[in-house]
Amino acid sequence: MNSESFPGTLVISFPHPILSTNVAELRTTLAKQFADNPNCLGVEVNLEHCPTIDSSGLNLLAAVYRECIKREIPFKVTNPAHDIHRLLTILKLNKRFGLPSLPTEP
Amino acid sequence: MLGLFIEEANEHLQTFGIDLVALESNPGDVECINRVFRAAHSIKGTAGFFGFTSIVELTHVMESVLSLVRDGKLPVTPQLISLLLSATDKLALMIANPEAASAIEVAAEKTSLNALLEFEPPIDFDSAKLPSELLGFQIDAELVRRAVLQGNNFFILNLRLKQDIEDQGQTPLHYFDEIASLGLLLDSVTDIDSSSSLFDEAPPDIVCSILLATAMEDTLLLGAFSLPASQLISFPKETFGAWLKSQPTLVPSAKPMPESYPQSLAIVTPQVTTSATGLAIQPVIHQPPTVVAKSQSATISIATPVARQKSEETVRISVTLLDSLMDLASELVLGRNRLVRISDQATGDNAIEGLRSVVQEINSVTSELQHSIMRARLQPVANLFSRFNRIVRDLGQHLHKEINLELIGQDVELDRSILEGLSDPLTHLVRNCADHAIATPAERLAAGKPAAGNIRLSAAHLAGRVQIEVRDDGRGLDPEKLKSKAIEKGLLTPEHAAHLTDQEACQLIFLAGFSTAETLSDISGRGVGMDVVKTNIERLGGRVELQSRLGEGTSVIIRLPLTLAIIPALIANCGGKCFAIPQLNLEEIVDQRNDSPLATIGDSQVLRLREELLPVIDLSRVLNQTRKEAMPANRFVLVLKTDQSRYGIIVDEIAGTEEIVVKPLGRHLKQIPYFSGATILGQGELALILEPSALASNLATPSSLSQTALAATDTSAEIPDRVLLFKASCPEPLALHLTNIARIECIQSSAIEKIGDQEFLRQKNDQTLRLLRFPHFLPLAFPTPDNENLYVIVPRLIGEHPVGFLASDILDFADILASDMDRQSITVPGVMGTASILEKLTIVLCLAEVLNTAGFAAPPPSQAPSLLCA
Repeated sequence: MNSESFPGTLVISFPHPILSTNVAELRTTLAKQFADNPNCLGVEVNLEHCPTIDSSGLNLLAAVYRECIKREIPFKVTNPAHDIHRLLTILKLNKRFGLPSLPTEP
Repeated sequence: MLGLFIEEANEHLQTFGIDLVALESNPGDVECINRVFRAAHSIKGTAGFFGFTSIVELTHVMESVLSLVRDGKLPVTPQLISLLLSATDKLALMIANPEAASAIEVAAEKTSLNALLEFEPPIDFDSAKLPSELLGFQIDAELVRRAVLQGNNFFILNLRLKQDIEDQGQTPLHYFDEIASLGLLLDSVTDIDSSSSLFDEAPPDIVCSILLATAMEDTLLLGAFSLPASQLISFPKETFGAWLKSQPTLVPSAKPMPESYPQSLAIVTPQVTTSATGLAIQPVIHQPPTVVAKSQSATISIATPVARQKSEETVRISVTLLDSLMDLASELVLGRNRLVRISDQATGDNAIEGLRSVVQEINSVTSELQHSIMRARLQPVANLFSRFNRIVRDLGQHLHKEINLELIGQDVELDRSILEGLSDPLTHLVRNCADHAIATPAERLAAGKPAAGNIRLSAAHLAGRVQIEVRDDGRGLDPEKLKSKAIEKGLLTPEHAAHLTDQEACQLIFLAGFSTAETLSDISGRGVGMDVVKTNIERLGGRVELQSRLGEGTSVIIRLPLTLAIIPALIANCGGKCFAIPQLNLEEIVDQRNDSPLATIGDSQVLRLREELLPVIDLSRVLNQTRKEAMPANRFVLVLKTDQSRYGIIVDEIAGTEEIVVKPLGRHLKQIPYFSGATILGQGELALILEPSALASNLATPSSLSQTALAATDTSAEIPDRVLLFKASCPEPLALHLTNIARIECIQSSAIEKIGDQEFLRQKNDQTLRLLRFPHFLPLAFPTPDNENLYVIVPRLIGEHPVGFLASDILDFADILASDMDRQSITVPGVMGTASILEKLTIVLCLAEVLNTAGFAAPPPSQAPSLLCA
């Protein structure tokens, strides 16, 4: 996981799957990132190189979202793979995560 | 994927067109309305997935109009159906090339359809009429209506992403896809407001609530997903049924669809909390992954809705793959044929132990495989017939006629290649019925018929073939008018026309360039149709017959083989080459090797076959074959029948019969009309497949009319009679017509037994044959003593007491003409006359008179062949 802080925005990139096997480690890292950037004005999670996400991964994303809500800063997910985008649409989390809806089979 | 979309969309469109026409006839057919609605909805949904906006927009407005129809807010009128059909046509064009769909002009259709829509505001969720558990969901009333109509049950599934999905070894996307495949996923709500933050020690699991409509029962659903009952909330159908009744019908606006379409997936702010949904999460019972897999498997085999089960019983196969399988099966058949032949030759010292049984097994399996693959190529004629609903409807409107179309036997199956080839001829026949045969309502009423005409299109299996009939109750064909037209167009001479029966005259419409239409229309009547119909049907290995009665109607009967790929054929040799003749066209084989040469009328050879004169073609002459060795003049005559001709072809030898695999001809041979294809025989030899219809063009008169003309010639042209030449212990040669003779036996003179002055011959069946001698009854020279060997000529038709005439020598057979006979020189009973045959003056006998003279009753006139006594 990489993170960089643009003026005011914490950008977190996940270059690998977010799975139950690495979620605990990622959670620790993310918590550290948030702790290190107490004054960030927003959080962007870049999933460009993240091929897949499981339920634990979704829980982690939701936790990041919750943290942003608590801090009253915007949160968004960018460049998700199609399947991840579709999953977020089915769960109706896409809007909260700043993503458009995907056309879905009626 | 795109190909699949096009294929499925075309299937929907086909159903769409058929149902729209059916809806016009029966506007109250709710199921029909639902089908067209579903078809439009499915096309729209899939097109949306691919991003084909213009297709989505058109289907959306069509769907909206259909929704009004379904709710009884818009009456079904011919104008409405025409408009929807017109939009369907445009949709078909768009789907044919979806990537360029936006180039198709559909503004007119959209404007007209939009004009039918009355804007109504989107429904608001009426919370007062639904249980509180459903408050957080945003529901698409149309989806719910669909689910209610399908008799689905409604459930809320409360799922914990980690415990219910991940811990079961599933990925969430796959899990939700599984749920969606079981029915309609109406909406979902995910509660992340109560989820953990990053700094929680024990992060709680996210809960997602799914609103699902499915045919499954709750127990099956729980079993399928290994969920505790507490996580499933069931709603009776009536919950939504009652709610729908209180709701205004969803009338989508004509505006472009919102981004969030379908509404079931619209984003709403979650209002459901754990307590609001009544969720009481029970301690999770972890199932080992293997049990989960078993459970999923059980879901597919037990709990899947019927429709889904059916879809899993069939797979789509590309036509290319099917053709490729057929080619491989054909090659296998060829190999099998060779193997069988080799096995047949492996006898005696060459015998291989066990070979025969193995070959028999391969033979049997190959045949089964071939037939199975051929069956896979069969398609129901409904695929073809269904399009005529639309054609007949449009023609009726265009021509201001009332026409009913009756479709019978739509489940009859035909090879897909035949079905494709049948499309144009059938379309032409149906258009002809509508345009020419069916009169206007006023004319029909005046003729005492119902105002609405009837066209019946039927298919049936008949003796291993498929018979398709196009029958109308229209004007019928006027034979006299047909004859006059044919004479006028120079297709027939008045003399020939005079000999035609009414049914034969009706066949004139199959002649090229023939049309009796008074005026040309854009539908038919240009005279370039029926001959093409006939040619196309014959190309498919079929035959066409037409029957018509003036004022009553016309019936065109098409008989087709089930398949064209592998056909039974007779293998014949001619000029040292092998040819295959389809058994379909073969009527009989006449062995002419021991007979006199064929007779000739004009420039044509003819075979006299059971009182019928058959035109004959010498195959080697037609094909310009040069024989390496001299062949006997008399060989085999194959009697062939095509749609309009019956004739014989002369071949040298018959090699046997074989199931042949029809291979297309190369481009060099394609130009030769006499061959329809090629095949490889069991010996590995190549054989060309003869095209009997094309060979018939070599007859002196090319069509069936020639047969009639020939028959007419039959009565005027003199036909030679074949006679047996023999001697009866006298020097004078005698002649007896062959038709009078049942058999000839060779006996020893010592076998003759006498009782008084009567002579007898005992036969093997212990019967006795009375022997007569011609010199006793005829003015012949004094007989010489008997030879050691004699012949007994046993005549036909002698009743209960058989007799035989003794002959000393059998000389030959010969053909004589009645006109060559001198009837004056000898005028005694029993002698018909004299003729010079083989340079000898021969007495031609009249058997009936000889028998009378001998005291035996001559056969009654009705039984006697005409030549027994001229």
